[in-house]
Amino acid sequence: MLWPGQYLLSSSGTLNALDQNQQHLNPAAIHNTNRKGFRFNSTSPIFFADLSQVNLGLFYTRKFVFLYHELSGQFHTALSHLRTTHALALPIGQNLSIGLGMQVQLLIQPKAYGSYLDASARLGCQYQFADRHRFSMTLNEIGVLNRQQISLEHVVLLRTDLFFAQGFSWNPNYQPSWYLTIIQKTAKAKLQFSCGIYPQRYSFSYESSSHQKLTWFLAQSWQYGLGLGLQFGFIFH
Amino acid sequence: MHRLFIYVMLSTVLRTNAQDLPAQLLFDNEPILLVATELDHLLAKQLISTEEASLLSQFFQNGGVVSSLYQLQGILARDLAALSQLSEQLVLPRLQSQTSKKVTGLYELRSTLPAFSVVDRRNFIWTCDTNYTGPNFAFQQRISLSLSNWRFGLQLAKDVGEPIWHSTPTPGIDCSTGFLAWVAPFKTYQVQKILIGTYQIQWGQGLHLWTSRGLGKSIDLLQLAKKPLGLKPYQGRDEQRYLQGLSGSFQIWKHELLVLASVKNIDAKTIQDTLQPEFNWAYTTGLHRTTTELAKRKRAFEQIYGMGLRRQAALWQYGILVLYQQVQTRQLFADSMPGTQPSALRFWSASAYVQGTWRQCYLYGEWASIFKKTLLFSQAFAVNLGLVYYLDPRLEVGLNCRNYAAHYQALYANPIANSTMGSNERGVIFQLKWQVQKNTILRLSNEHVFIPEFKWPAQFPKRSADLRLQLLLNPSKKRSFTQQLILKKQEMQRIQIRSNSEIQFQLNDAERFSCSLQLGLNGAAENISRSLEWNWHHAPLGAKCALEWVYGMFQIPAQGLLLYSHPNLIGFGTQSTMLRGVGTYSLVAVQFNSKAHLQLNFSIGTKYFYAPIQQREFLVQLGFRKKF
Repeated sequence: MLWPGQYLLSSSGTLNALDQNQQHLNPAAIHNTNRKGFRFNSTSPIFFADLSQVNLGLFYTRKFVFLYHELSGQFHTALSHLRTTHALALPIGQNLSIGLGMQVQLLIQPKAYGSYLDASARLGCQYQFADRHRFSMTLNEIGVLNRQQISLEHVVLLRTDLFFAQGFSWNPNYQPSWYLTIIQKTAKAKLQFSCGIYPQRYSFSYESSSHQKLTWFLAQSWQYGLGLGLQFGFIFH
Repeated sequence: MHRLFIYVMLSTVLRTNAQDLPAQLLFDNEPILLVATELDHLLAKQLISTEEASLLSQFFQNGGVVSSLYQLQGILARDLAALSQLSEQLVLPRLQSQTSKKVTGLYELRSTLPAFSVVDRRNFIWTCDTNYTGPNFAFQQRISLSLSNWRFGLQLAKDVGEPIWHSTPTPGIDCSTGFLAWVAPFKTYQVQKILIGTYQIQWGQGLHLWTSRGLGKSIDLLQLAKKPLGLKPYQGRDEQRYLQGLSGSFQIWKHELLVLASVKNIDAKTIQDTLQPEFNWAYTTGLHRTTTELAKRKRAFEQIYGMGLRRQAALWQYGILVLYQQVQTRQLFADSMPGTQPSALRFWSASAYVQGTWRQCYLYGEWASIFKKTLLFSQAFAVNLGLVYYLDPRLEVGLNCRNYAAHYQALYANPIANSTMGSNERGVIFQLKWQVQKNTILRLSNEHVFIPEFKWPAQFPKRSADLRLQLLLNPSKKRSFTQQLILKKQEMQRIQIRSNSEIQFQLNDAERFSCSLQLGLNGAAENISRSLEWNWHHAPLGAKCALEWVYGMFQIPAQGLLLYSHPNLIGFGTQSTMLRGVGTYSLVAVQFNSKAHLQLNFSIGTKYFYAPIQQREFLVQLGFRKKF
């Protein structure tokens, strides 16, 4: 089951920017060492031949403001989404950043109801409240009745190369969705395992930064109701 | 022992200021005036320590006024460098000569505009209950004046749906209160206070006379013991819980003598409505919106006369109080049917209380009894005894026992009880406070209640028990975490479980963020009630503008436990809301302060219901304050 606004088989990344920009998930999730880049991500559930998702994102800085633009599409013969998302993040002090975003979405269902366009706002914050603890919160789809969604996440830096994240997302029409994530960094790769309930799901991803300017990742996910899925993506820095 | 004393003093200060909380919040981002009523504000901002607060509280109680930094340095024993940082955020009160003829005061206006709804994105409708007889807005305006030792206050108010003007049975504005008071400048004066008009009295442990409202129970050990403030002028929003007439407080042989006479028309319940376990006979909601509510308005005549004597020392206090209480339904022209006579409730009552610290114990207790020819002593008394024992620097235990007999009554009581109005019940509370680590506190409270009496045929004896567990984590001054778990079991009902988690961050000098999650599980239903709320408070010190944003989501199934939201909104105080159905809510408040002591408050609240029907509700509040 997918909530409106939720990414299909979302696997990679946390709401906190641990070592790279995550403004596609949280408008405030910025990282000082990752200030400019281009992101591509594609997702395909194996059991649904005609369903796929593609995301293209661009992030950069202007003076002290971090900007992010994204164009994404989710394609299916019965219903397609086209979405553009824009975010602006502002660091306030060393430990706090807040972000504001907007999203315009076109839902196309030509064989049934036609097309529908809506716009909504996003809000997020990221806060490092201790050396090893980070907290972030996002509010998505502000202004759209029935689809508002809140997400909270807490990340613990167990070691310099080991992170643990716990969080949840909630739209009041459904049960809260809880998840746990563990991330291990090695010299050239990053491994991430994540699992959650409501809906039941897990994902495993491998990310490699063999070239200085290119990071690519491959993920395998499973979600109740959607089955197995594959994700592939890369980031140019 | 010293620490216990500090707790007692501080809880007195905090309880005192709980009455004035909305007023304090109005000037949250301005430098703080160094007076007794602002001590909890200084504590909350961590400008002073608890020890310093207790020193200042003692100083103010003895009639002292801090008029210079050197004086403050002497009281707090701080060095001047540390004091200069503090002084930037303080305003010292100006010493006024006793012959000063300058009038100072405060005018405040607050209004709730008519609410409106939007259904299905198209239909805009003003939300108005057709049962209401009055206009769909609320207002409250009050003025307070002070000249030398004289105080004057006047308040006019109405709630949403109430008529502005009532012609019967007593003509006038829906709620109007006022007072004129004379307050002695020093504690050495024999006449301490003389008050004409509306006033409130807090006495003993609240068994006999305690006009102000407030939940009788707390998970905090020392909050169970009430700290009576005695006589105070009244200018609050509650239309029921105050006295009206003449009262005075005198200092005689180190004792305080209280004399009171209160005469007022009150809302009366029908006889059927009074068949309730609460022993505050005359209590109603105070709302006069519908014809049914209007029928109760000012239909009874209440008289209370009394005299009390108490002595308050630093570590202990005791007192006695004797009252004559009478309520008589008014025979109006429309009721003057042949053969009908006004019914009356009249009785004498007396009480005695003592509370204080002895070695490692803090003891408190009150006994009260009413005297009626038809009642035996055993049917008409109430007793409340408590003990807090300081076992170890890290461990405190408390025990409270109460027995409120079947026919005990009081018109203005606020005792420790399951109901804020008091029930004729027996109960025992055991509490424990354990400082697990420097920054970790665990509290436990276990209560058993038994209502043994049949007061009317439909009632039967019943028992209930609840267990509360609270964990407080304060890793630093800038962040805290609270987790509370409540298990409640009532006879003939399944167990109820509630959980409340809250995390709070002081992000920087201007920003505060908090997030709370409530869960409720009713054993009778499989569904879980949930609510999540976060609060963003932006108030830079000394800035002209402050902002607060509260956002919440809730999911309350039809058979689920009801949940409540109590955000404290800048400029408007606590906004309590009962959550029902599925939806989201948002409250935004903005406050503007000018150097001319002028303050403007604006708030807009929206509530989106997803189920059972899709609807958006909007509520706008305005506030204006001017100090002069």
